[in-house]
Amino acid sequence: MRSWLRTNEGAAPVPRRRFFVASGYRVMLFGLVALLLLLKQRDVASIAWLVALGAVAAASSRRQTPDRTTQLLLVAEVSIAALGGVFTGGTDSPLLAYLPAPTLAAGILLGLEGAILTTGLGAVVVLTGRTRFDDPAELRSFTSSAAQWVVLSLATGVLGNLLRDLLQEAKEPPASQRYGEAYRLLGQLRAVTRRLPGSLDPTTVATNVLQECRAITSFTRGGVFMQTGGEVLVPLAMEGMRRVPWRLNVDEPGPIGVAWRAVSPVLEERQPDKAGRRRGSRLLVLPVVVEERPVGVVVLESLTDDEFTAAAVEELGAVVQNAGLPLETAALFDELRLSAATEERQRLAREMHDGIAQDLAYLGFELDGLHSGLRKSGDDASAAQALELRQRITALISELRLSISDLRSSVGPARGLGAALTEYARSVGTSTGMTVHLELSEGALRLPADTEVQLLRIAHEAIGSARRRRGARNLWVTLVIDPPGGSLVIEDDGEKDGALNRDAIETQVMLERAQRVHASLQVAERHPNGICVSVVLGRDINADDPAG
Amino acid sequence: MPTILLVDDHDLIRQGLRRAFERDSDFTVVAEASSVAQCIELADSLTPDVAVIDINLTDGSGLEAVTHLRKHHSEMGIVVLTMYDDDQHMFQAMESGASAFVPKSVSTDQVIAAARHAASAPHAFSAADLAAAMRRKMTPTGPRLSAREAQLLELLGEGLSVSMVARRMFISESTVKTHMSKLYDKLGASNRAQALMSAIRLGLLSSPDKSR
Repeated sequence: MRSWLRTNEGAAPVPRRRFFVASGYRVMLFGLVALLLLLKQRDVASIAWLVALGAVAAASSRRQTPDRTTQLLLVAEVSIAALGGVFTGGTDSPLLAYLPAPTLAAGILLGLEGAILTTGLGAVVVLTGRTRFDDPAELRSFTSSAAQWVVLSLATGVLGNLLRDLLQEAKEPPASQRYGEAYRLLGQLRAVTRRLPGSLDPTTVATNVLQECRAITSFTRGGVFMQTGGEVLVPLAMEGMRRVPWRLNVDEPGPIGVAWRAVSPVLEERQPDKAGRRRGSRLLVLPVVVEERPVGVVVLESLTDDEFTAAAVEELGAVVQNAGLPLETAALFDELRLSAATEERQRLAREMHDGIAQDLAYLGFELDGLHSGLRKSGDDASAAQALELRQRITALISELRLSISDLRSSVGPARGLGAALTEYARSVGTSTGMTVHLELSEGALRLPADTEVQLLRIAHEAIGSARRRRGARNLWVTLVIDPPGGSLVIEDDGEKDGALNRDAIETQVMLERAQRVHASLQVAERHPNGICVSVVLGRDINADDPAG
Repeated sequence: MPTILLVDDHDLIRQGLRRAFERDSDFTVVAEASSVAQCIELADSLTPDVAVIDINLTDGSGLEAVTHLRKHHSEMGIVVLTMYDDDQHMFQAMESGASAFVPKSVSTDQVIAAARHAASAPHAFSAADLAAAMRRKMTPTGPRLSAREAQLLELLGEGLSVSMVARRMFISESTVKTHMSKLYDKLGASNRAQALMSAIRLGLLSSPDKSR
């Protein structure tokens, strides 16, 4: 009993469901007892016991926290019910019928230990009250009746303890459990991706879709366009054209918007324009659907009239329908990978800023003190060494700050490559003193997210090399985006002798990034000084545009 | 002897600064703080002559503390000492009411010089790269607009509708919309108001107040 009274101090409120069941049962039994008592025994003593029990029961039923007060009230409640039973007629007393109420409440609110102790207390009180009966027959009758009620109370208390778990309200799983779930899901994802028949690269999947379409019917030009957040679709793969000739805003009128909203194929006959700049053609738009929701479109255009027959459209529809899930899965995987990479870069930036950068700043302050002391003591040679060391520390801090800036710079749904590059180039100009000449030409369309990320990282590498190059005073950054093509050129006017060899590692990193997005990279000496890094995107960038 | 309050969330930095001020200057370090709340509390109770404040503090931005101190202790010198020594933070420090802006990479002599300047002229702002930063601000490296886009921007700035712009530029409404889409993208805007605000901020369009 002592431990029961001690351990629950300061406990949190119990779930509301438990509270309502305990109180509801109590009210029901009290009403029944009161009715029976008033019908059978209307004497003052019985009514006094009833009032006392009612008062304690009312106070007890308001308690929602399993603390010491609740426990004491339950003790009082069971004691009054048992004593009342003894003093208001023994065997015939309706008050004994109230005994299961506090034990159920104890089981629900306090658990099995509480239920047993409350019942035990009731039993002790009843046993003590037996001494009041002198007549053996009456004593036997009372003992039998009281024992039944005590056993019933114990059973009700145990039931209360079982209800305790059932009445537990759904709650937020703990963080460790959520991590456990994430671990299981990621493990499954790894297993699934290893078993996939195709790639998880959106561009490769989209290119395969176009190839499958070409196996069914010929077309002059075609493309796969996916939604990545905004209303304008992003080109993933294109054939037979160097720039997108169609309006890719799904909210606008036109065959793409119509197919998107209707979630069904649209075939449009396009008449030649009067000026003769555009020939007539047939345009087929097939929505890419996942779970009855459009996620992209495949657009095919033919300059001949005999393509896109009903049978071909049906076959193409099946190909595109089958491609929906792989395309969306690849896009999801891409998003997950980019988001993980961005988060990790942010974490590294924070760690560098809060760790090594601050330590280096402190070291610089201490070196200033050392330099000052050496100068005052007349040790000029050591003072000069300390000063040189200080200058190196200062340069290191600046370098570190730029690395932090590299890590933080990223593209996102609301921040395109042009904006990210502008901010980064500006920060480099600020911290190095180089004059940055920035030229951007971006259309309304954006590149796929991974392509933007890789181009930005290539820019980081190239600009990083340029700012380390001796004599570099100017930096020229030119970005042209015309999806699916584009180019990025970064030039500087620093020293070029041996620069290509010194930057071999950076060049290798840039090359790998360029290859990943199917771009070509060229690093060459610039006339009269410096190095020029150029990246050209889009395999079909020099292809003819047959439709004009 | 002028008094100084050091505010930084890194113990080592506070330690280095304390030693520097005690060794090479006539300042007395009266207290150290690592958070905005501590900084405000100590500054209110001790009213030091100068506060040296980092931007990145445990419970928020040091610039919040700068704003509070400038409002309640107008004669206090305030030096913002930070690892973020870019133009944006420099101008934010200036607007918050700082007296000086110093990057953490500089020597302690320069930090002490900034504190002396702050103590003697709390309402004047000094920063090592201020002139260059002002030049950069005056000649922003924003997007380059084509002649058509520049003309469109001017007309949008005059409040013309798409159809009126089309008539004025002798092109179709559809072409105007295409140019607008490209213009919005270059300016990082999603509607006309945002585009105009960005253009004014980047110096591509003079603000209505200035043009009057």
